[in-house]
Amino acid sequence: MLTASLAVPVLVLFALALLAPLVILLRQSILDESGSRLTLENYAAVIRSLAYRRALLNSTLIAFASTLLALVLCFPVAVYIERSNSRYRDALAVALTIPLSLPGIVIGFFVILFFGLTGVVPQVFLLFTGERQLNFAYTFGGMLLGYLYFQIPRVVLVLRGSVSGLSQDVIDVSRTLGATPWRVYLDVLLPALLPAIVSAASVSLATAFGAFGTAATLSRGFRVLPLEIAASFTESFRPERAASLSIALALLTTALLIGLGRFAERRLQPQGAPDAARGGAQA
Amino acid sequence: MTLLRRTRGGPADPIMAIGRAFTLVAVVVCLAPLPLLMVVATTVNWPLGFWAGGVTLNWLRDGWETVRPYAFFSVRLALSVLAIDLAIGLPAAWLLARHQFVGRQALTTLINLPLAIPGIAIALALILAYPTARASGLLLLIGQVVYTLPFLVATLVPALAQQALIEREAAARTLGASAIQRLWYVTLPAIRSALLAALILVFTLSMGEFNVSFFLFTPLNKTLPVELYSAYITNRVEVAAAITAIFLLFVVPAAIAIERLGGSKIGQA
Amino acid sequence: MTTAASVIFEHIAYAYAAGHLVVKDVCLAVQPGEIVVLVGPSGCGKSTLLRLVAGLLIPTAGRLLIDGSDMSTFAPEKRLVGWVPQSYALFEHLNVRDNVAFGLRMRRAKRELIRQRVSEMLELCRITDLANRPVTQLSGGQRQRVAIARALAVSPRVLLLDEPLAALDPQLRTAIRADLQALLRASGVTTLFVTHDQEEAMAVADRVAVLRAGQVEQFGTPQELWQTPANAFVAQFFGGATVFTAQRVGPGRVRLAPGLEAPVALSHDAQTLQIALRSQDLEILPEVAPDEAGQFVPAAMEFAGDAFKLTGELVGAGALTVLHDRPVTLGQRYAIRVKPGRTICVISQNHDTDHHSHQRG
Repeated sequence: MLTASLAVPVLVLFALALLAPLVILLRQSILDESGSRLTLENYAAVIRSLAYRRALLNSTLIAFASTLLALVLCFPVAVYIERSNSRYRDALAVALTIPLSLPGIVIGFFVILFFGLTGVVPQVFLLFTGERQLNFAYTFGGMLLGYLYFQIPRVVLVLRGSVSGLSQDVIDVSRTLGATPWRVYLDVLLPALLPAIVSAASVSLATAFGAFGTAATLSRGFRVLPLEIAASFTESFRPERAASLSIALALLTTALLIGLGRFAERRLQPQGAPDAARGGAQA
Repeated sequence: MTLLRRTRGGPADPIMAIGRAFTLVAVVVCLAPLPLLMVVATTVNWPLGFWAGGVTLNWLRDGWETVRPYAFFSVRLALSVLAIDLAIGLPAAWLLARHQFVGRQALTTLINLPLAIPGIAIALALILAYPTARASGLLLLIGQVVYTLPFLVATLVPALAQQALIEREAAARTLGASAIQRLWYVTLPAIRSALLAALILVFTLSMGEFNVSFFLFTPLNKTLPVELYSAYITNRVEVAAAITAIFLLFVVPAAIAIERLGGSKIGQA
Repeated sequence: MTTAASVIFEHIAYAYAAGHLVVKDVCLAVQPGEIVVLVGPSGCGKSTLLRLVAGLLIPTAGRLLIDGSDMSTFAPEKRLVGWVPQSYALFEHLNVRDNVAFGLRMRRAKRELIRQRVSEMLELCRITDLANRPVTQLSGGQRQRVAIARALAVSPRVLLLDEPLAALDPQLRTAIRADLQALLRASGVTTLFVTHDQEEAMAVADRVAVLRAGQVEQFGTPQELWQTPANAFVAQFFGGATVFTAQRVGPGRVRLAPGLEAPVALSHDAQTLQIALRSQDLEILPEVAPDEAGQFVPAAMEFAGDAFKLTGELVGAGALTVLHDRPVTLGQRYAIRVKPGRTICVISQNHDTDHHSHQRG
């Protein structure tokens, strides 16, 4: 059939270039060091290892913190951008998508420019107070800022879709019933957009867990999972360790993206929760 | 449905006012690095302050000399990725947009899988599967194709699924146009802006891709972002800034073009 | 139950954008506890007036007084006004009870008070058995009652209803209308009710304001508007009448058309009068020879249950609609006369209505 053959190229490509390699990765992760016996030792070692557990904790910490910050910041942004009649609206929307086109390393470099040793902010403090302050680029705070930077466009994008479905009448009615603007955000807009918020969170978390470039540029001791994967592959050359970490991370991000996404669609009200938004798990 | 109304003379809508305040903060956060980057890239001696030592274009000039081969390689790579993506992705998008069939949801999930899996995992899997293909740069190409394909498909499907377009094609068919003629004269013009957005998108994603490329590159097949990374590690901050500025020239205008073409609809595919 | 307020519109004007006035110059005085219906064609500004009272819009000119205080620039959350939009705008993520309780929660009422008040409202609007149902599962009529219960729960001084019956099935409308009117009377709250349906306006209102292009054409009781419309527009829009020019032929008598004369109130003594003819005012007489009375030529006929509605021409005067209990032959001339005992309504002799004179209650 002609129509079925339309799918052949993509099926072949993905079978060869994605599925088969993933299977091989999986297999590598359950082989022992000699390469001949199947074992779950690699996963056990990962779980036992303090370093890897710490990396998981760090990853979780920064993923949730940056997601939370991004949601709090971008929720009113999405409401404004989607419903504003201002002539600057389009320009503002474009400005917010700039981070989408940047690789994580560039974002990390930006943080360094602002808060690194020779960063603009410490230099200004040095000028006025004689001491460098806010030199936190290479700490958790700096990484958080970097992660926030690439979350902003993704979260705004996902939320905007649902904001367009909000009824102005509902907002107006809540005000006549006594809701101040902040209460409108908390008691009317937030519950109405909850599915979109969960959806945005799923994209944001998955991206944050999988982010490598930003961490590679900024991390000095705050180890996250992607860095451990890279280290076990390029430095200590333990492909089976790298494989098991990769599989674990991939399962985590996939579960977050697809699982939370479906949860948003089904359990919460059936709004048009968008599919995996731009950027997926890459930053 | 009630439109958003603009009041004159009275207090502005406070809900939108809150939104506007947050938006300005977010926009400042997003844009502030850019002018700073330009300042650093043109300062003779940045550790001593703004334009300490004077303004210079030397960093930019030297930076360009250094990265020029990598920039061109990235561009060639991006164009190849684009061509392959189009050849593979357009038929797939057509299938998803026009036909209902049993495995449709599964196919969509499959195509979107690279979005869910961290780039580093994709890269590692490819290396383990085809270790010999790495040296030739083939893995780099394949990795980028796999990573960018979901974006192309997601951009094209809504454009191809438009009811108005389908009806127009049907009308052309009744007027005697063959399949090729319909494709050329009816379909492609109608999806022109989505197609352009998709192509620029893939180009930009490829130019800016790091997580996959970092593990699949070789000295002969090195992309601009990877070179950028080594500049960050080894070089003066002014040089790094200059090279970053050059890199931004390749991706930021394209990103703006995508947004103007309505590319932000991708998140809602 | 509620302390009803008076509402005064003092030369209110409103423009959406520069130069485009939706409300031009409105002066109305609504008494506490009154039900006032704002009626008019689309675009006349009636919904805008409601939004001005609610505080969702700020007047471009003029003052809005609620209970004597100038509330023109107060934010909605400070006004204690209940507003029910046409879409009802229920909170979809809450059930019925929580919807009704919303206003009380916003005003930080104690939990016990909220519980009690909500029960009262559910009882009043007869939706007690729906209390725990999610609003997405309700019918149109049920949603309307929830919206009204929600608005009344905070004991508003004024209640604003924007086309509350428009979204309902036509068959239900009359029954629900009676319910609604009973509810409004029971609660005693000052009500501003917007509709484009004049029959609804007449049934529900204490007084009616007819609006056109941002101005009040007439404000009075339904009987006043029916019997003494201020101008042709009110007679046509509100009374469904056709307006003709008639010549006076004697005290209390005018001629509408060749052969057709009619009695009018003695007080009208101008030579030329504008009269409003309604379809119930006239009857055709198929047995009578056309030459001895006015003449009517039907061009279209509709079956309307109790009678046939005939649209045609009153010869020498203009287009007219008449009711008859039997079908007629189209195109044939029929004798027509004013039904015995009926007095024809005359439109006030000032054609440019002085808006002020008709607006003070």
